[in-house]
Amino acid sequence: MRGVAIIGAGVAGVTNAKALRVHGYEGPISLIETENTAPYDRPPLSKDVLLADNASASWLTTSDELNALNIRYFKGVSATSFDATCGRVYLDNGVVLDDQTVVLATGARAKQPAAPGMVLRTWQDALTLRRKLRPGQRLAIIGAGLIGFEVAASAIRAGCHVEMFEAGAKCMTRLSDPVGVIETLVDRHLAAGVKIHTKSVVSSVTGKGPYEVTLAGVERVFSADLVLWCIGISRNTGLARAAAIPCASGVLTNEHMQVRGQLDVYAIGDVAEPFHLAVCRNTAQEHWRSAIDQANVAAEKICGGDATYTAQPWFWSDQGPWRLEGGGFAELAERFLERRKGESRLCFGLRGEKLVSFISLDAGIDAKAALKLIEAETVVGDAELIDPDQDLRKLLRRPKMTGAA
Amino acid sequence: MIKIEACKVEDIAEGETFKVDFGQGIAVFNVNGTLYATDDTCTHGKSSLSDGWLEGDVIECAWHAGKFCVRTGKPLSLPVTKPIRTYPIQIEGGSVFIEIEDN
Repeated sequence: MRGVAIIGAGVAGVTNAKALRVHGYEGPISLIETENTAPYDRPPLSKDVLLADNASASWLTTSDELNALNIRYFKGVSATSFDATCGRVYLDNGVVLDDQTVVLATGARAKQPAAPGMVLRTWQDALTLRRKLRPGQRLAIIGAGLIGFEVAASAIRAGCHVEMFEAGAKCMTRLSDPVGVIETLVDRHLAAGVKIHTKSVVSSVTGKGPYEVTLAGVERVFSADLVLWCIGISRNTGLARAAAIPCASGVLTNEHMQVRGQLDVYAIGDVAEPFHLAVCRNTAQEHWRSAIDQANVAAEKICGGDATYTAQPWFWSDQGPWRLEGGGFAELAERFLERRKGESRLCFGLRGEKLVSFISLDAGIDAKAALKLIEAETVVGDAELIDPDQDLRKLLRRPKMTGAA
Repeated sequence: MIKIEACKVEDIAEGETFKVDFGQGIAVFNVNGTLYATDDTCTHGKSSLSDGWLEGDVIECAWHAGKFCVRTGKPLSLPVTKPIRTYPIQIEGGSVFIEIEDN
C-alpha cells in the first residue's frame, strides 16, 4: 500500500501523522525529523523552558504512542530530496522510501545575519539561552516581535537587564493595532523594566561575549552579555524548490494543502502558504493553531475526504503575566470597536454587522468567544459587543448570517 | 473514598461549567443536561478547565486550546497528551455529589 512520508516532526507533522490514523489510513507512515530528539512543542521554549527549575520539553507524542499507531519515526534524519512524480524520498541515512505521498512539514528557521549572537527556535537553542539567563546578565534582543517580547518577559523574571532594538517605529508591527492594545502591552513591558529602542537599526554586533551593539547613526555603543536575534523566520522551502514545486515566501498550496501541480504532495505548518477563501489569496500564517488545522485538513484529504482549510487564523502570545491574543483577518475589517473590562482590552474588527478579527490583552474566555463569533459569522450589534456586562458566548446562539437566499 | 457535595443542580445551566474548590479544584460540566466532573487543572499548562470553552462533551482549555472529552477524560487535541482525571457524579435531592477515590 502507498505510504505517507511526513518530513518534519513539529506540531504540524505529528498532528498529521496521528490524524491519518484517526481518519482510517492503514498504510505505512514515516515521520522524518532532522533534530535528534523526540517530537516536542515549541511555544514553551520562550517561557517555561527558560524559567522552570528543571527544563523539560513539552513532548508532542511518545514512542509508545508512535509504536501503537505504527508510525515509523526517523530521529535525527534529514530528507535530502524527493521526486514528486514517482513519490520517492531520499533520506541522509541511505534509506529510500518509494511510492510515497509526501507531506512537507519542514517548518522554518530563525533569521540570523552573519553576526555574533544567537537565535531561539529549537530545543537546543532554548537550553543554551536558559543557561545564560542569570541574574544581572545584560541581554540585547534585536527585533521587537512576539518572540522577542516573550523572551524579554522571561529574562526580566530571571533577573536580567533587557534592552530591545527595533528598526521600526513601533513594536509587534506585523499585528494590526487600531486602538492601542499592543501599545498598552508595550507600556507594561516598559514598566517591568524592559528598555525598548525603536527606530534603532543595529549596524553591527561585535565581540564574543560580552558583545558591543552599535546602532546606525547613534554614537552610544550598548554592551551586552548575550545577543538574541528575533527578526523573524525563513521558511524551509529548500526541498520543495529543489523538486520544482512553486513557492513564494512559503510552499504554495490550494485549500486542501496540496502543492501546485502535484496532488500527492502536501505542505503544512510554517513552511506552507495555503490559499484561504476568506481573503481569496495564498497567505502564510506562522501560527501554532494554523499548523494543527492544516495538518488535519491534509490528513483528511489524503484519506479521500474533501476537507478544506477555512479555519480562522488564531494566535496567542504569553508574555510574562500578560497574554496577547488575536484572530481572524484584520485586513477585512472596515471599522473597529473596543470593549474594556477591568485591565483587559479587546478590540473587534467588523465588516458590516459581522466580526472579522480581534486582538486582545488578557481577555480570557471573551477572546475565545470572539474567535467563535468570527467562525460562526454571527450578526452582532455594536452596543452588545462593547458592553462589558454582555456575555459574548450568549451572542453565539443567534442565527447564522446567510447569503442572499 | 470521599464524597463531597459540589453544588446544586441549578448552579450549572446547560452548556455551562462550574468550579468546585476542593483540592486542586474539580470542574463540573453540564452536557445537554447530564453532568460530568474532571480535575479542573489542565494536564498541559496548569490552566483552569472550568474557564474553558465547552462544546458538546468537549472542553477546550482557554489557554492553549488543548481539548478533552469530559465523559472519558481522553485528550483529543494537542498540546494535551495526558488524560484528565474524571470523577463519578451522583445527584441526590437537587445536590451534586462527586465521588473521589483515595490515591
